[in-house]
Amino acid sequence: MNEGGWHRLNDELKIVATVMKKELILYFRYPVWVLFDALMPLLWVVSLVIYGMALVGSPYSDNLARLANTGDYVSFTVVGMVVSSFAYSTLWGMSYAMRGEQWSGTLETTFLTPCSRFSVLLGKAFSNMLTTSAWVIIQITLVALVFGLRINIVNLPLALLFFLIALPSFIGIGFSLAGIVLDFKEHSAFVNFLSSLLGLLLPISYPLSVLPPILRYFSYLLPPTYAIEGMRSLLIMNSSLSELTSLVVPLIFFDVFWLFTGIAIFIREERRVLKKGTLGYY
Amino acid sequence: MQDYSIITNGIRKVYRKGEGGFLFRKKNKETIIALDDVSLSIKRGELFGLLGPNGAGKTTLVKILSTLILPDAGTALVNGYDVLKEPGKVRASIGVVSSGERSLYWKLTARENLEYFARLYKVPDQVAKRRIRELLNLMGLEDRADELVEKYSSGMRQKLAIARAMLHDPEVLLLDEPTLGLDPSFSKSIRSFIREELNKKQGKTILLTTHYMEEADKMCDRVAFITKGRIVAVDTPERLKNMIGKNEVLKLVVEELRESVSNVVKNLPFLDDYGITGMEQNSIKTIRMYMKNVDSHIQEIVESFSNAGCRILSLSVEKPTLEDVFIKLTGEALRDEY
Repeated sequence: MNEGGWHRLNDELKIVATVMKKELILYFRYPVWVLFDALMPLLWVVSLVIYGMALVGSPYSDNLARLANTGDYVSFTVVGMVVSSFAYSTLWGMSYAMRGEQWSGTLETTFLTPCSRFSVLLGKAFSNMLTTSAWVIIQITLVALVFGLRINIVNLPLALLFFLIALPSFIGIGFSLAGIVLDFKEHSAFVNFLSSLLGLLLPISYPLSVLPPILRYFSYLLPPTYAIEGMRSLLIMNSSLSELTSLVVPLIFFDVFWLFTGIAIFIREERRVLKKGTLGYY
Repeated sequence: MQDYSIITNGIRKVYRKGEGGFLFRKKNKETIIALDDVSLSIKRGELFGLLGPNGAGKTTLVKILSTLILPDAGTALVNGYDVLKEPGKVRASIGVVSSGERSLYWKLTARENLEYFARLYKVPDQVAKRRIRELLNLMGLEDRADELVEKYSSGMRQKLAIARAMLHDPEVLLLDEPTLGLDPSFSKSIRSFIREELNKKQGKTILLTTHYMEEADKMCDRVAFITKGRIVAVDTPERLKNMIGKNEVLKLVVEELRESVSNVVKNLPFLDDYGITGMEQNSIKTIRMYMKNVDSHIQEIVESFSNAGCRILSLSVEKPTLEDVFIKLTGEALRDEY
């Protein structure tokens, strides 16, 4: 890359950081929103843990051990919830923020600037991930204190690395959804539907092997499936990264596929909106 | 080419109603021609007014020039850059202010808004700090710079929007109805700021859209009339007003009770021209009559309307305005209430 290229990259990275900062400032100016965001994931995970314990009778399940190589139901569910929370924050974060800009009337003003739209979208996604991280840490600490949590802390850096491998595919899907929201001016319906669908297809609180085969095939088409399985293997089953080749290879494929697809969809939708003259509509 | 900041050639934009439906796509799309063969050349350093009624196509043209809408046909160059081929360079060289209040983040302070947009415009940190300080000072907002924008009045928000548009010191400013909805004193101060500070002192090229004829008349070097997506005249305000000739204008507001006012004016032989405005379903009509020696005809005019059963609500003698030229050229008023 020549000097001009580095300069442009530096500018765009600064824009990502600036958008993150702005999103965080706006987020913390709605304290009730912050409170709900902090509490809600905790309520979901606790209810799932209690539900599982009620069915099994203890935090350990022989049946789960047979199906998923771990019988620790609490750790199994918490890791599933944590990874899916991060995945969701990236998947929905951009389209949600895009919808927010449409509502507030600032989308046109943002698009009037010469910065890359993708820098703005990334800033929004990363600010979402940052707040999710804060709530996840609280969530894990509380669940660990109340129910006991056995995860391999030593593998945490590897788990983070694994998540980073999955991240480009999430970002690519996020770009696609942001493009669709740009055109269709609707976010909640998409997210409600997709959240419910992913809740069914992703191995968050049950192993994939319990899904009917047809649903399992769909599940294997979703990058978060591999992220959950991989991070669970690293954090609960003490696997090494080299043992996860069967998960890493498809993730890299999804990364390339979704990044290109996401960028292409966003550019196409932006062009459609500019052609129709509906960028400022909400 | 160097002498012109904005050049449009044959710009056309057609909106299709029902376009973009996903499940329920309409077969027969109704079309609205927003712009039809619009060609304009705006000189560097000129304050150019685009005057037309609501829905004439003013905002569409501004959005095409600011890369927010793609034209269906034609070309547009802003600062020498093609809006279709070099949108990034166009954006970097323009500042846009629209009439809406929602173009800022209300939950951020004025300073935070400006810092944010300065970064998006890639203004270097040190330059941005100085520029923000200068602009806040220039707009008289420095004392309240750290208050949330939601606490600002409409006029203050508009001033902040102008400051935001000038952060990167653009050569061209596109101002879309910048005084719409503002109270008269704020409008006056903003007009004066645009003319004296931005145009005369800083030498910015400004395209100002408005449907206030006084605004265009007082501020602009040249004015283009636009109606139904077409440019119908371009010239200086003075030359445009000369189209009315040496006539005076008698403005009459009447209530049409029995006979149509158009029948009455048709029978006044001394009129050079006239224009009637007012909603079809409304019996109140405004008639602007152009003639020489108004004083000598007033009595006859009043009698003619009275005999036709029209009640005269007000009568005044005025100098020709851009509104009169607009009515003469298009047969329609710039404002509904007029």
